Amino acid sequence: MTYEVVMGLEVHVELSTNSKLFCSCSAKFGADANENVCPACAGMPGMPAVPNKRAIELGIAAALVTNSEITPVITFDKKNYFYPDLPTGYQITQWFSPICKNGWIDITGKRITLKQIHIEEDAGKLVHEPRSRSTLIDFNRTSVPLIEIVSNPDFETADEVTEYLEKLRLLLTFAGISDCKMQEGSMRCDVNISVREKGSKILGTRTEIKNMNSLKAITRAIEYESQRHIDALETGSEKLVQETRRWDDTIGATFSMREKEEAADYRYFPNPEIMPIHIDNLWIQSVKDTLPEPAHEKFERLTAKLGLPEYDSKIISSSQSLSNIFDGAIKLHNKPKDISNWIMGELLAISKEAGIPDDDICIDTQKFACIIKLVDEGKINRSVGKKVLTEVFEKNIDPEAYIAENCLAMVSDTGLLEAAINEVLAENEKSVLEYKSGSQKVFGFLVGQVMKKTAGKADPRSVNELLRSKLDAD
Amino acid sequence: MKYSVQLEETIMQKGIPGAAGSKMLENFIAVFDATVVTLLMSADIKITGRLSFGEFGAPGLFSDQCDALTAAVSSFANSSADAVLCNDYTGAICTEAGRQGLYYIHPAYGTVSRYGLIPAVTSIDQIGILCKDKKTGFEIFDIIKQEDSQPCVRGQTLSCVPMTHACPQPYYDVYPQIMQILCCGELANNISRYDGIKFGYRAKDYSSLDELYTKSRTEAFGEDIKLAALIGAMVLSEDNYMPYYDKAMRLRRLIKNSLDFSDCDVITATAEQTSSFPALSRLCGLPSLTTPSATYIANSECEDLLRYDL
Repeated sequence: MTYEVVMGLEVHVELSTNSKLFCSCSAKFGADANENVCPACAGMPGMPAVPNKRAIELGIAAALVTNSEITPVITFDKKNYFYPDLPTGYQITQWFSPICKNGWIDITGKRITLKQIHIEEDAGKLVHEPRSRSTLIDFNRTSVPLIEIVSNPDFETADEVTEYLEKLRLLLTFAGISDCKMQEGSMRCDVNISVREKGSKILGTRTEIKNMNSLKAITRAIEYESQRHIDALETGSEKLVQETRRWDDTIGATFSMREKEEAADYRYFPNPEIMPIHIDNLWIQSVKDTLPEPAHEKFERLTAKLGLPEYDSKIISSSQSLSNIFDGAIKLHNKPKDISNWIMGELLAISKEAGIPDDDICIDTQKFACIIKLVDEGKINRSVGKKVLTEVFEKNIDPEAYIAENCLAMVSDTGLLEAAINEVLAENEKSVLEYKSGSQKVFGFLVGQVMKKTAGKADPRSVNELLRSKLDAD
Repeated sequence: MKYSVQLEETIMQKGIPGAAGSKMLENFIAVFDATVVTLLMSADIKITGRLSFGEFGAPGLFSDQCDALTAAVSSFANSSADAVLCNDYTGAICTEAGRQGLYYIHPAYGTVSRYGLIPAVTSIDQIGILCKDKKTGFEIFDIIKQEDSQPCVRGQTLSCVPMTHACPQPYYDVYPQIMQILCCGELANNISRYDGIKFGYRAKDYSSLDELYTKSRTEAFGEDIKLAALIGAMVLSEDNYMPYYDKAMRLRRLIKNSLDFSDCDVITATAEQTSSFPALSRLCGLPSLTTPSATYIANSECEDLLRYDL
C-alpha cells in the first residue's frame, strides 16, 4: 500500500513594531523579566485596548507580499481561554474578520494557497523553576503583536514545508514585517498532518505538531509523525486520534499534549472596545509604497539587467542587509560587478571571520563604496583595500583619513619602486640566480619581498612589470 | 469649583483600594487615576468619598429590587455631597434616582472616558452623574466630558432639540432578555482576569493551583456575579453563540435602527424598569436625563439636553 501525506501549516510571526499591540510598552525581545509591562498588558482592569496602527500596517504589508485579498473592514475579537500566561483571561485576535484571505506563495513547481492571515496578541511566557518547584510568569511577551498565517492543506513533503518557510521568511524579513528568528521564537510553526491512501479523496485523522524551533526539527518531526501515522494504519498498533502533539527534539518523537478531555470552547465574541477598522485603497497604497523590491524581482534585476552571476545574485538578493549594501553602493559607485565581487569576496570573508550571519552585516555603504572606488582608481591596492574595509567593519573608521594617516596610498612612483626592487635583488642574490636558471616559482617570492619592503602599498602590477623587465634584462 | 463629589467604587483612584463593591478586589489598590478623577481634581472639585451600588456596579442584573442600592442612594441623598459619579449600565441607578427624588444624567455612550473605570459591560459602560440638583450635575458633566490625552473610545454625541415627545414601540418584550444576554456575556469575559493570583482576593487554604482558583472565586464573587459568569459562558459557547449572543446583537442593532427621530428628538418615559426605557437607552447608547417627577418634564429639561450636548 502506498500512502500520501497531507499537511497544512499555521505560522506565527511576531511583527517588528516598537510597541505592543494594545499598549505603549516596548515589544523588543531580550529585556529582563517583566521589564516591559504596564497595567494594560498586565491585565489590570480599567485600561482600554488601543490598537497599534503600525501593527495593522505590517498586517497589510503581509497581505501584499502573500498576494492576499485585504478585508475592507477588519475587526478585533475576544478569544476566551484561561491559562496563567494570559493575564486578562482572553486573547484579542481576529476571528470574524481577519486582515486578509486567499493568498498564495509559489514554491518549486507548486502553488501553496493561504486560507487567511490574522493579527493577534502573543501570550506571556511561563518559566519553570525546578529548584523551587514553582512556575514564574514573564509578561514581557504579553500583547506583542503577531500575525498567524494559515495555509490550506497543500503540502505533501517535508521539503515543500521547509521551502515554503524559507520563502515566507524571505518575504517577511525583506518587507520589514518580522525578523523571523525561529530560535528567539519570533517565527513559530505548527504542522497539521494526516496520512491517506494514495489517490483517496478523504483526509485521514489529523494531528497537530507543535514546539519545533528549527527547520531541521520541523523536517524530523514531519518524518517521525507521518511514519507514526503509516505504522498505525498498516499494523493497527495504535488508534489515531485528532489531537495536539508536542515534538521533543532530544528524544526525536512527538508526544500527546492531552491538556483536557473535552475540546476547547474559546467563546469568541466581538471586542466591544475596539471599533471596526476600515482599510481603504489609499491606506493600502501608502503601505505598498514603503515595501522594498521583492527578492525574486531583485534577483532578476541583478542577473538580467546588471549581468551578475546567478550565484552572486542569489546570495545578495536573499539577504536584506546585503542587498541594501549593494544598492547603496552602486548609487555611489556605478560598477555593479566590482561591488558584487567585493561583497562576495572581502566583505563576506571579514564578516564570516567575525562570526556574523549575512542578515546581520552592518556597514556604512558610503565608506564601503569609497574603498572600492579608491581601488578602482588605483589609489590603493586591493589588499590594502581589504585591510581598510576590515577597519571600517570593526571600528567604522573614515577610510580616506585612515589611508592618509597610515600612508597606505598605493606606491606606483617608478623611482621608489625601482629603488625597492634594487634593494631586494641585492639582498636575494641566490633567488635571482635560481630565477635565471629557469625557476618561475622564485619570481613570486621576489614580488612578495618588494611588497614587504613597501609595506604592502606598492601597485602589484607595476612591481610585476618592473621586476620582470629588470630580471630579464640583466 | 465648590462642589464635592463621591465616586462609585468602580472608578479608580491612584493609591486607594478600588474594591468595585466586590470582595474580589477588596485589597486591590489602583495604580493610576481614572481620567474623570484627573479632570475633577484639575477643576478643584473635592472628592469626598466612595460608595458601592453593588458588586462591579451591577445592581438589578437579575431583579428589580435591590436593597443595597436603595440604601446607598439614600445615604448619598442624606450626605453633604453634591453628586456621585457612577456607571449605571443596568439602568437600576436611574430608576432608584427617580424614586428618591434625585436626578441622574446618563451621557451618550463614549462621551466620557472609560480609562480607569473597572469594566463590567464594555459596550454599555458609561460614567454618569447622580445628583441632587440638575444644574450642578450638568456643570460636572461639562468637566468630565472633556477630551483627554489617555486612550479612550468616543462615540457619536447626539444633539437634541425639544420637540415632540414620542416612543418607539417594537421589541418591547425582549429588551430585558437582550440586556441579560449581552451583559452576562461581557461581564463573564471582563471578570475572567480575577483569578486570585496577580491581585485581588486569594483564598487561604488550598492544595493545588486549580483549588486556589476555584476557592478564591467561590469565596470572593457574590451570587449575582457567579450567575452572570455562568450565563455568560453559556451564551458565548460554540453551540449557543448564534441562537443567543449573535441574535441579541442583531436585535440590538435592529432596535437602534428602528428608533425614529424623524419627527422628534427626545423620548420621554418612566424610568421604572418595567417601561424598558432604561434598557432601551443603554442598548442604543442614548443619552438620558432622569428627573424626580413627571411634572418637571417640560421644555426646560429638553433644552438642557441640547445645551449641554449630552
